[in-house]
Amino acid sequence: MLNDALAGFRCVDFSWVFAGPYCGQLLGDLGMEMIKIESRKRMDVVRNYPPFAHDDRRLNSSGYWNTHNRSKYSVNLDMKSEKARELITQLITMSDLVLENFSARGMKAIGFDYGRLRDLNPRIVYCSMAGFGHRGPYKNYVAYGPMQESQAGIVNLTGWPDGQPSRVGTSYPDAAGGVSAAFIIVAALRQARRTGQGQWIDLGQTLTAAALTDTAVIEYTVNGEIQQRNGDYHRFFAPHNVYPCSGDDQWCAISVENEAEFAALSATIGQPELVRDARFVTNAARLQNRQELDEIISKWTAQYDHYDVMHKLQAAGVAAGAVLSTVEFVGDEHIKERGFMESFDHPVAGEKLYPGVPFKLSLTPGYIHRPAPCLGADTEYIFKNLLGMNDDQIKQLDDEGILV
Amino acid sequence: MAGDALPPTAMSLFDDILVLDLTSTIRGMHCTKMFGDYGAEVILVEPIGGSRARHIGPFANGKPDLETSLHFAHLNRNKQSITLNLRKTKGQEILRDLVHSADILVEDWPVGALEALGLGFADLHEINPRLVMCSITGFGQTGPYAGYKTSNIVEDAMGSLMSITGPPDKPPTMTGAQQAEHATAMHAAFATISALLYRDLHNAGQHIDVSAQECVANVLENAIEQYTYTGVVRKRAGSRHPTAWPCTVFPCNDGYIGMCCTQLKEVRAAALLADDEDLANDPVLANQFERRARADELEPRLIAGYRKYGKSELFHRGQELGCPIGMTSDARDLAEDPHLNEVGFFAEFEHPVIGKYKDIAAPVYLSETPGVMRSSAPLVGQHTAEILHSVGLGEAELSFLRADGVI
Repeated sequence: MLNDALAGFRCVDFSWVFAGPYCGQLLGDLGMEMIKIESRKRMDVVRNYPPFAHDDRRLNSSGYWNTHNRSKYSVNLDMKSEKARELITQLITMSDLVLENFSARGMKAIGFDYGRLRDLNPRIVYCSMAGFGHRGPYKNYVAYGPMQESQAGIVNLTGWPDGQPSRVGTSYPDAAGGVSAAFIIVAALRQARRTGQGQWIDLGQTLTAAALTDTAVIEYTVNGEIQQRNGDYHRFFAPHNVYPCSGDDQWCAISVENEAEFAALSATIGQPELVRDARFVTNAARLQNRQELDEIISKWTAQYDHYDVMHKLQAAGVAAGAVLSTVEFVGDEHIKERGFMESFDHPVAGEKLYPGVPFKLSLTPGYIHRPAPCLGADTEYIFKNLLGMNDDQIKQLDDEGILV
Repeated sequence: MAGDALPPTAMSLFDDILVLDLTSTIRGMHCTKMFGDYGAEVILVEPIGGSRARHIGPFANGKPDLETSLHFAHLNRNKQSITLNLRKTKGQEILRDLVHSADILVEDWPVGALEALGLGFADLHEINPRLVMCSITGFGQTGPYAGYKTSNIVEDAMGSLMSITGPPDKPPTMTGAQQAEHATAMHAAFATISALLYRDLHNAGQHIDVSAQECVANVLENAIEQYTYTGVVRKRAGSRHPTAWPCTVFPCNDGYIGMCCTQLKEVRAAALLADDEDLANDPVLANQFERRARADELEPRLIAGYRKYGKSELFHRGQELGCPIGMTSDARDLAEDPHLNEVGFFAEFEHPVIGKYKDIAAPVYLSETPGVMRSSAPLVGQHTAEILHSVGLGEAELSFLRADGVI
């Protein structure tokens, strides 16, 4: 059996949609015991989001849900019932972490705000992930990743100067908030071991995204400059762009940061004299004449496949990367050799490939521990193993309509 | 120096942690910043003459200088700086001495470069078996592209994010503000703290191999699954969300707004915000798939309404109606935002060359151990003497090392 970095830690997980589940995915893949509390009465909207296995939209067939909820257990409970809350209370007293990404009012509504959690278990780490956090004037504003990205300032910096700003092609603040949460949660769990005290992590996804605007704020406060979007140009280096290759809608990214790289690029494209050309002789000159330079480079790249362009340039020591489509990424020889994509067999979706763990720990590698659970698949297992219940007791809960 | 400094009795999250920082890229420096922002002692090991990050703009008042890079200042606050020539045997020895007492070492050197200096994981693990070493590269430590060079745009491209970003009539579009690098840094920090917790419990350090390409591919939401589940290869399609509607960027009279509605009541609020009551009551909105399919037809009606108002007004009025809306903030909007200012998102820094300024602090609030902004970025080698004294080197030895080009 492989070692797990986070073995022995348990989470009661109320999270849904993308940000919280992505956090839980990272924690679960490193071995934390993730117990999702779900209900048909309050279904995660993402269970109803595409892609669907066999093009059949039904419960448990969503690839979106299945990818972010692998390595977890699912318990289904009607959280509105008193009995269900008692069971959740028991789980919380024997857990290390409570994770949720409701609105700021959500946990209070189901009776588990931080004061209550701390009373139940002073060692508990509680991580809330509301859109704007639980403090401040916007705390009750509703927020999802795609609009948080606007509010956070990333949209304004993405896209083309001559057109409207662009969202990153993923609900990026969810992912960024999820990984930010995973980091700070493990740090707080470590702190709880040092001090015997848990604490409340108030993460606002808009804030964790706004913190990724890099130098935008400091450049404004120091220089009074407001950064603008630049398409695929770099403000300070040239050449830096994506270049058309021989196939349809096929591109290769190239970025050059110093003279040695520019010399290598010039030689590789068969024009070593460019390094002596007054238009391109320094980085400053190249920035000024980058359109002309891009045209020269494009004439060369257009003759080759995007992979060929990348390999030729990388062989010469130039940073270049083919713009991979998802099908190319999954089939990429490097990704295959790294073993990044992992598969699991899911009772409804069947055997499918998923992105695995984007880092390898030499002693505790991290991997997909179990397929994403069907709704409520582990209710019996958790109740028997953690709460010591027997078949009759579980049947009674079911008869009372609590296991929905 | 920040407003939210801890009372002297309180612990910070990482006050028992020493991080050796051998990084000079965003994917590296942002990772170690996450430890420094919550109280770790972070020693940035710079080459003689300073980190290459000090040469990257923007610069304070547009004047390039080793101490005026705002790129460097933003990523290296709360760190100490030592200059050390790791190409020299004596420099390598000093690094090994520092490794004795370090908990974490983060590096973003090309694959094999530290090993070639006798400073690879195997060497350092022998010196300190409890060390957690995190290596961050474009493509990881193994595989056919291990030696390939990288940058943000290369990672956007190879992680497949670029293929789904930007409008369809433009080339694939890079993420703004270098998100491939930031995403990689955050995943590296998560892996590192997890390994550190394991080290505390089991007394064993380990090596972490972080691939930027894989970190980027990991944040694609459901694009890869769309292919593995259905065979459909997603193309870039502007700002529209593939499933939810309206969930995109819209123009208004002074810029843009972002919106993302997933529930019917939110979609209705979006229509009311555009003063379009007919649309708000249209039964077509009831089905999420049907309304998404009719985006081309319905969006102009929303835009016609939004164009009458400014982004700030739309943001607040939309939120009051229950619409998940944000304005498309620029740097000034962020710096002046009442919410961000009230919750301690920013801190004041004072730098000997750049002067006083406000920048983003630690973005996540913790009830017992919030982030602590202790200092602005260090000057080149500012803490060299102090740190070398702590590993037992005297003033005479330092003079010798200086003369010899080691420090």
